[in-house]
Amino acid sequence: MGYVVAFLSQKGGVGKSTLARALACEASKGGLSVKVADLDTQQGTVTNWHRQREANGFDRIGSVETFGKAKEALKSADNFDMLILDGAPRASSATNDIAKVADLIILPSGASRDDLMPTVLLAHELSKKGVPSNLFAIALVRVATESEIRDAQEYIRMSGYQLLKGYLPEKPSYRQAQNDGLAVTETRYASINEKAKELIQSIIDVLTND
Amino acid sequence: MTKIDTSKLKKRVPAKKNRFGEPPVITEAGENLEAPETAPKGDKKKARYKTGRTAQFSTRVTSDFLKEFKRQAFEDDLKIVELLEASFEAYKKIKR
Repeated sequence: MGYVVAFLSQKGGVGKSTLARALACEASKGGLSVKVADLDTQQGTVTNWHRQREANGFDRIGSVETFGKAKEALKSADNFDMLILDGAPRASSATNDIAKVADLIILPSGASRDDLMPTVLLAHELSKKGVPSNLFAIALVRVATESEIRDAQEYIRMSGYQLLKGYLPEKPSYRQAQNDGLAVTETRYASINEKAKELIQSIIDVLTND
Repeated sequence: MTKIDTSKLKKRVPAKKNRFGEPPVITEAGENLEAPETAPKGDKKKARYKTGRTAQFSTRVTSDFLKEFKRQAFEDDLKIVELLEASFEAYKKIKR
């Protein structure tokens, strides 16, 4: 079985699809065969984005497929070097099914109480279900000021859960890149690509226990 | 008079408040992981047909009969249709 990396949350708009796409792109570029399972059948964010990517002639990122059930998606884990699960914007028993087999679960969160609190609560739930805390990590996404980042980092540290190194700043260029079918590591600006790459690198580092 | 030098004494640094407050404790975690993956489908239709009483039955009766019939059903905690069915069963017994 290849790596299984899941991006999960119990609310929408925190950056699951953004990070899932970026990891898919970078792993693909690294020569891994990648499958992205889009578990959000109502939005199909990654599926639509991938269509856009192909229409604009950018490199494929392996296979993208929509699944209504997490268990169905997990069946394809054997056929790829990396299966990336982009979760539905809610927590359910599917979160649990995924947690049982995932090598790493990323819980993205924005720098607001509205995002941070549900993220920590979901981490608590995973913890209560017996998921070891080294199997999941919180990623800071869409952050703006230095002091906001500091407070958010401190908040996560106080919760006792693993926080990924790096963060994704709030940038219109990230949105624009994704509108065009590109990942946040592929914008027109090298400096913000670096920020995104740092965060994706830390996902890979945690995944490989580096 | 000796002047006391207090310059070395440090003032308390007030604890800086985190703008997000304190993270929730584990006992505040909900039961979301028990929730079904997809929203369960409503079973309303099934409930409606559970009794098998799906055909329309309509007739005209005197208002006194209706009043008495309804009162009886109410007193015995029956539905109108249940009283009708019971009446018909009784009729069949007498006829035999």
